[in-house]
Amino acid sequence: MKNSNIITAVLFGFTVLTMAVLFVGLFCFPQAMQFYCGYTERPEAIIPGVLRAYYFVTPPTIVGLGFLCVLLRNLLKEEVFEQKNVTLLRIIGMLAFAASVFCGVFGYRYLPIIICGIAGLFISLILAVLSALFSAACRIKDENDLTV
Amino acid sequence: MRIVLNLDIMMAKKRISLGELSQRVGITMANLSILKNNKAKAIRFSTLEALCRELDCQPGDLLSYEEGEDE
Repeated sequence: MKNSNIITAVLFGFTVLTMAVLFVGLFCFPQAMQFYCGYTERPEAIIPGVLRAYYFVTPPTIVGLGFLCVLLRNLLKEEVFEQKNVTLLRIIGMLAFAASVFCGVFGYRYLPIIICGIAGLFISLILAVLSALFSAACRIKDENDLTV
Repeated sequence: MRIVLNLDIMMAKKRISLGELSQRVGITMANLSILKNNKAKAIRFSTLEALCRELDCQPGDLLSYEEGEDE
């Protein structure tokens, strides 16, 4: 197995793990937040706001990570500069943008959530640029493949 | 507007099969098929030269320009 494939496989595993953690969090995040507030002696008044932000941000994030898994699987199969990967990158970028907007709307009172939102915005911008690059690379590959 | 490769016409004139031409020119049947079906986006001078040599023709006999939408 080549080094790049090992890195892609590790990233694939990490993505699946993150998806699983976020999915489990959908069921036990309220208890975890209560434990956190009790442990750090923070006011329980923050719980509803944080929960609202979590429940709005997590679904697009999980779906985005699912698409990322598909993208990483394509890379493992050495299908790199394909139009389907451009579409996947665009979808993941849009989901990251949606998640960052939800962070801003539902978590504007809490600085860590705002920081996450800004990070999501940067990720969506980077993905938009990356998808444009992939699209250009697909066109060049297509021309190269059809040059005899 | 498109450039059309009249390879099938020239092959019929010279009575040469796709397999034989691919062997003589030194390109794969798949690539020759791309050329024959006008799916190619570009052709190398070396390929054109080999085709002209084997079909005993000029580049202008192989290539023509047609009005219409690009595929």
